[in-house]
Amino acid sequence: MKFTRSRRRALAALLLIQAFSLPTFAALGGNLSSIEDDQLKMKGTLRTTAAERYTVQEIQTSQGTLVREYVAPSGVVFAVAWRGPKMPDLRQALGAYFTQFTDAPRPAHPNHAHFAINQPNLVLQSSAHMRAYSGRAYDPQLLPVDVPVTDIQ
Amino acid sequence: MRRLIVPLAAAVLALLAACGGGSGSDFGSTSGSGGNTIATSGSNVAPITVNSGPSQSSVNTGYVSVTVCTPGSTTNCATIDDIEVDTGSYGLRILASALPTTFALPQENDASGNPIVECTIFADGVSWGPVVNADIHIAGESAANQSVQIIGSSNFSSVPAECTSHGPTEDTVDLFEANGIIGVGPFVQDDGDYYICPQGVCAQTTPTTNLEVSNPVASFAVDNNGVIVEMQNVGPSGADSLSGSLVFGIGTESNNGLGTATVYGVDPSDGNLSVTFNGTTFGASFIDSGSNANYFVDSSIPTCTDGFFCPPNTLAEQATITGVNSASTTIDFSVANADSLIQSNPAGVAFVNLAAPNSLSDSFDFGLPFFYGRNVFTAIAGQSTPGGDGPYVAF
Repeated sequence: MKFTRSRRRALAALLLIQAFSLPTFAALGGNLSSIEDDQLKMKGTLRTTAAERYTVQEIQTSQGTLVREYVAPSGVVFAVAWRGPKMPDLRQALGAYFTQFTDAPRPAHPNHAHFAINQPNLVLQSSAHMRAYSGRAYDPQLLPVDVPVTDIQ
Repeated sequence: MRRLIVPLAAAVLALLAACGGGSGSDFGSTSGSGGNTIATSGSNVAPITVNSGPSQSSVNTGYVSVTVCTPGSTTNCATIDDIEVDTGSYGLRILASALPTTFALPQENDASGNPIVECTIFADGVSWGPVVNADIHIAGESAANQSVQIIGSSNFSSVPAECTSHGPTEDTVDLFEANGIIGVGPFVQDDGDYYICPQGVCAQTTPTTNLEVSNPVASFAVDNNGVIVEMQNVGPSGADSLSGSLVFGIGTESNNGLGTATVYGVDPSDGNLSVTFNGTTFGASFIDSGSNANYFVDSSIPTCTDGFFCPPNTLAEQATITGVNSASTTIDFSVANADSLIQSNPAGVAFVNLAAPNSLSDSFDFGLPFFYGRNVFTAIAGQSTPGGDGPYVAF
C-alpha cells in the first residue's frame, strides 16, 4: 500500500479542507468520499493528523470524549477508537458494523466492565466504568499490512 | 430470587431503630485467610456472597441483599438479593422483573412534572429504565428518598435510539446477570445519560444533581464516607462459593478503621490511578469489584474461546499500583489457563487467577480477584476520613 508523496500531499490538503468545514464523521468501513454525506451526529471539533501509513481524524465530542478514526491511504476508515467520560454514538462510529456489535454472541461469563468481539471482519474491544469509557474497533481485512494494531488507541 | 417481606422489613427496621443504626457495640470478625480480618457483624456490615448469580453463569461477582421501601414507609418494602457490588459505578439499579409484581415505587419527575428515565451505559450493553424514589436499607444503614433506577420497566418499554446507539439492551435479569447493581465507588453522582419522557416521547436532559441516581452510601446518616469490600481468599483451583463483607464507613466505627492500610489517591475526575506492568505504565487504571477478572494488555499471553487469558502454564506476575498521591506498592498475582481452570471446576464461581485482555493499552483493571484475601477501602470524593479526604482507595 505504497503512497506517493504527491498523493499524500493531496490527501493532506483534502483533510485540511475538511478540518475547516463543518466537523464530519465517517464510520468504520466508510471512505473519504462518503464523509460529506456522513453529517456529524457528534457535535465536536475535528483535528486531522497524518501519520506515516495512515491519517487520524480526531473528534473531541461536546461531552469530552475523544474519538479517533484511522483512515488508510486508500481513503477507507479501517479503525475507530474512543476514550473519555462518555461512550460515543457507536451506531455512527461503527456504521455498517454496528449490528455485528449488537448481535454478537454473549460470552459464557459476561461482564459489564468489558466486552470483546473477535470476528473475521470485526475486532471490537470495549472497557467501561462510569465516568471512564474506552474502546476500539477495526476490520482486520481493511487494516493496512504495515499498521500494527497497537497503533489503534 | 425475590420475595416480598413487608412484615419482616417492619420487624428489621424496628430492630434497627432499637440498635440506633450504628452504635458499634457488638462487632464480630473472621479471618479472610489472606492476612485480612473480615467484619461479620455490626449494623454497618452487609454480607457479600460470590455465587453464580440469578442467571447461573456469573464468575467473580459479589452480591448483597438490599431493601427498598416507598419513601417514608417502613411497611411497603421489598428485599432484593443478588444485587451486584460495584465499586466502578454509582447508585442503586434494580431489574423491574426482580421486584414483586405488587410492589411499585413512585416515579421521579423534574420540576415541570416530566418523568425522568435513565440510559445506563456499560461496556457490554445499555440498561434503560425510569428513575424512582425509594428509601434504601442495607445492613443497618438507611438512605432516605433516594433516586433509584428500575431497569426494564414496562412503564417505559420503548428504548430511544440515542440509548441503543451504545449497545444492545440488557433489561432482563438473565442478560444483566444480577437482580440489580449497587454502585459504591469513589463518587456520589453517576453523571449518567438522562431523559425526560412526557407522554412517552423521550428527549435527553441534564437533571439537577439531586435527581440523579447516586451512591446511596453518601446519604447514610452515619458511616457515609466510603466502604470496605472485605473478601475471603481462595486457592488456585477456585471455589464454589466465597463470602465477604461490604462494610460501610471508614474510621467511623470500631470495625472499619484503616489500620495498616495505605491510601492510594485516585483521579478526582474519573477514579483512575496508575499501574506499571511489564515495564509499561498504564495511566488510566482502576480497581473495580464489578470486573470479573484482572484485565490488562499482554500480547504474549494467548486468549481462549471465552475471551479470558489461557497461558500454557500458570504465570506468576507482578504489577505496581501508584496513586495520584505517589503512594506505591507491588502486587503479586497469577494468570491461570482460564479454559482448564473453569473446566476442571465447572461449579467454581471464584477464581483468583482469572485474567483477560484489556481493550486499550493505557488501562490495567484489577477486578474482584484483587479483592480476594484483602480489605479494600473506597473513600468517596469530598468526604473526610482518618486517611484524608476522598476520593481514594486503600488496602
